Amino acid sequence: MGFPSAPPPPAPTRKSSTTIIALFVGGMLALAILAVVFVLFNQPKAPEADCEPGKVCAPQPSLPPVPSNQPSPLPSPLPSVQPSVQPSPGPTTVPATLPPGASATPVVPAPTPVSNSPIVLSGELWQSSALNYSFEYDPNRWSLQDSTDDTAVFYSVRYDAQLVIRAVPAQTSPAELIAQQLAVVDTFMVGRVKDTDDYDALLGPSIGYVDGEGDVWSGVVLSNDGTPVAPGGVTVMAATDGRLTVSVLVLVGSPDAQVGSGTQQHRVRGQADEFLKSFDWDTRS
Amino acid sequence: MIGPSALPRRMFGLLAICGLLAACSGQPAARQASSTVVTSTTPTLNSAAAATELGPTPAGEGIQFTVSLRLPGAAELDAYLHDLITPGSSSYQQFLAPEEFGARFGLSQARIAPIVAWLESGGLAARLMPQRTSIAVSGSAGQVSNLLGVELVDWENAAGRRYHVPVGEVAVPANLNGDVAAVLGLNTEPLIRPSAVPTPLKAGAGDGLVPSTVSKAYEIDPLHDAGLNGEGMTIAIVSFDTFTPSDVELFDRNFGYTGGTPVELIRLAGASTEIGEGAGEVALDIQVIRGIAPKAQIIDYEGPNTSDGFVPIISRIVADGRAKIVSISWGLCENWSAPSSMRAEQREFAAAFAAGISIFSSSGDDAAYDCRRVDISDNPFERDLSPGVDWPTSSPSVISVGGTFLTLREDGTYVEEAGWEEPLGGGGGGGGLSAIQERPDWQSGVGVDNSASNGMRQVPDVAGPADPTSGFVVTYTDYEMGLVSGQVGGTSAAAPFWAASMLLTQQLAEREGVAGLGPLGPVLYQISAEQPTGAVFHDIVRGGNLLYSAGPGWDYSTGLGSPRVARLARAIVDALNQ
Repeated sequence: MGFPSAPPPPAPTRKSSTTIIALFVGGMLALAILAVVFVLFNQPKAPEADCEPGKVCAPQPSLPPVPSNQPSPLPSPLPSVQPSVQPSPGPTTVPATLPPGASATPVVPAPTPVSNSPIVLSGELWQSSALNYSFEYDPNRWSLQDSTDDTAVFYSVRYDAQLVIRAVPAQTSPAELIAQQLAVVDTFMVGRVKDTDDYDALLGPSIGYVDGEGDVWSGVVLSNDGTPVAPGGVTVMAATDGRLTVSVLVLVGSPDAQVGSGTQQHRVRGQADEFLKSFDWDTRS
Repeated sequence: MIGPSALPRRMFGLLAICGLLAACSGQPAARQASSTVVTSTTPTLNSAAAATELGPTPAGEGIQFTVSLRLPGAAELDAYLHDLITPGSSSYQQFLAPEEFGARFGLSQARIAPIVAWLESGGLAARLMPQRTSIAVSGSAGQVSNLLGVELVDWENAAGRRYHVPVGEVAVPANLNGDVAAVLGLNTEPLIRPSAVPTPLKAGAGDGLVPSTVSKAYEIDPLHDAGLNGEGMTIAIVSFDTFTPSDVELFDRNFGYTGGTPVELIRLAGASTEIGEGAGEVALDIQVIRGIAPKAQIIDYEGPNTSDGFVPIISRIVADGRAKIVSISWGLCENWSAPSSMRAEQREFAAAFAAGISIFSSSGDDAAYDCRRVDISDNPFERDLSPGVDWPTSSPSVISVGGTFLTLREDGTYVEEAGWEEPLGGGGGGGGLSAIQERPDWQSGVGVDNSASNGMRQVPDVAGPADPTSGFVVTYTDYEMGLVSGQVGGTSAAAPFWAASMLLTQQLAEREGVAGLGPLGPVLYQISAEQPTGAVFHDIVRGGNLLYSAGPGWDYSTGLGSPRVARLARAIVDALNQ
């Protein structure tokens, strides 16, 4: 399991055997969380790509192996690069001279035909059949680790980072959902404070073009035995369309580690935007 | 294990302070007693905080700079520019050749001669531009220092790029000071940034845009089908880097183009002769244009990357008079441009407007927060999270091009666009209100007057595909990695997309006997007001730029929208035929 769902609200009844069982299960869950966090942050770290804004990334020979049936996440130098450029299907050569009679024929655009062709996806589609929302992600960048009706957990392929998308009925406000997610974060992070560095500021939080709220925090990630192991950065946003409330949480280990000309947190957050752009709040419409 | 924390950017402060106070690097040169001071026009930002001072610039090193001239007819110029685009006016569509512009609005030859004589007295070579907006000057560092009373000091930024900075204030003889508006280009710190955003190339259906998909999605195909491919037309690109000609040949081969004209290079004094960090930008501009207008003559005007670097390039484009469509994909936060530099550049853009030249300028890739820098090497003191817009896109004499995220069907047909924004990464198409430039009369229409309007220039005017997720496939020679291929977005792509589309419109106009399109900004607003919603523009109503949302009519994220090119071309030509 990856990043777990937030705990349910406390039951209003007195403690019973069910409650005790629930507490036991909860305890086990917390242990599982710690174990996952430990595993996550102890994974062999992919080397940081020297890939700066304004440049196309260079191939990194020491990257984790990519399955042979998937394209490399990075552009390749020639000669392999040439075939990767897709020539336009059909005739591509523009006439060198005007076709006969062209100059006498005014350009009158034809009506645009209606197409039934499928919409191009920007990546893999993830969909909740229970809550009817979906989004797309690039499997070369993100690995799906866990998936339930309301939650999907991804690990970054190249960075020490995790992304969690969670949806709940809109009775839970964005602020409440953010608080729930942060409560879970607090089970493995200490000293969590708001990150006030302008460099990390979250400007214009939104999910799937629905304006929301959110903020950035920093703290220290604990190992499963409670030992501080590394700084961590947490960015959480939430928004609601009146039917669902959705949160997007991005957790980054060593957020200020330099990657190219930026930080690891910036790089990861930039890659996480694809989830937001493709987010469909209601797949039935 | 989690890697060690790295927090280097908080350590840059001390270096940056020294950079901001450039005088700490040397002694100002003594001023001539008979001279008055022209404010050193370019602030020393030393944006790469780890910049290193190398010492005095060698006396024999070649130096280029520009003397920007006062326009005594500025008030008359404003009236003329208004009449130029006002139907029924005696000056309507009466564009001026550069010599005419100079004679009408510029200094007299009698007043310019002493300025040239002063420059030549110091051993410098001076070339007056025919529109009399500026003088291009060159000489050695020693000659420049002696004449202007400044010391030139070499620095090297974190990327290893060497540049020189003037220490002291430029002194101009008192009798010339009223006519010399600014001395520009002495600080060659590369501050102007490309607006290109690359992503790694992905395979599969979601691959980036190629010429055929662009042409189909934006309805350029009808123009191609009518034989409009840019043949006989000329388009200019403004560049602060250069390109590898074989990349263009490779592009032609990849996409089956034959018989295209090689890209012409006009390299101004001081421009880099080798590909650098901005080579991808130049390649993007060329390839986007070539994919839309493969037979057009592309001229790449390359100049030195200084914060006031648009002056020599734009003045040269106007003087040459060959291209009526220009694409700019470089810029900087307008707050970083010194007022005197911006005024000098605006004079050049106004001269271009008067010449009937349409300049398409990318609105920047930092969404509504253009002054926010995100590179870790940037000077933390320069970070500014207040809303801001890019320059020169905020010029009232250019057409500002914002960014969209394009969704297509697998057969290449258009589905929809959203204003390009990246809430987590902080990117997006630039847009908002200028703090410096006033809104021109021609910027009007549904949505333009809104609750945020304050009389200042509102950008962008239009939009095009810019989100790297739906970016253009570009193959080019990188200065470090050799030949690479990637999917590139940014408003850097949207600007040449619009410029090339309007070049085909110009070709259609010429075919149908319309002499010239003129500056297209006013025409686009006029047509938007006349045409039904969605008829010639895709009115983009989703997305935004992290501060402003896209919505019906004009908005701060996507302006009037993206083009349905053939339909828009038809409407423009019909409007100009009336």
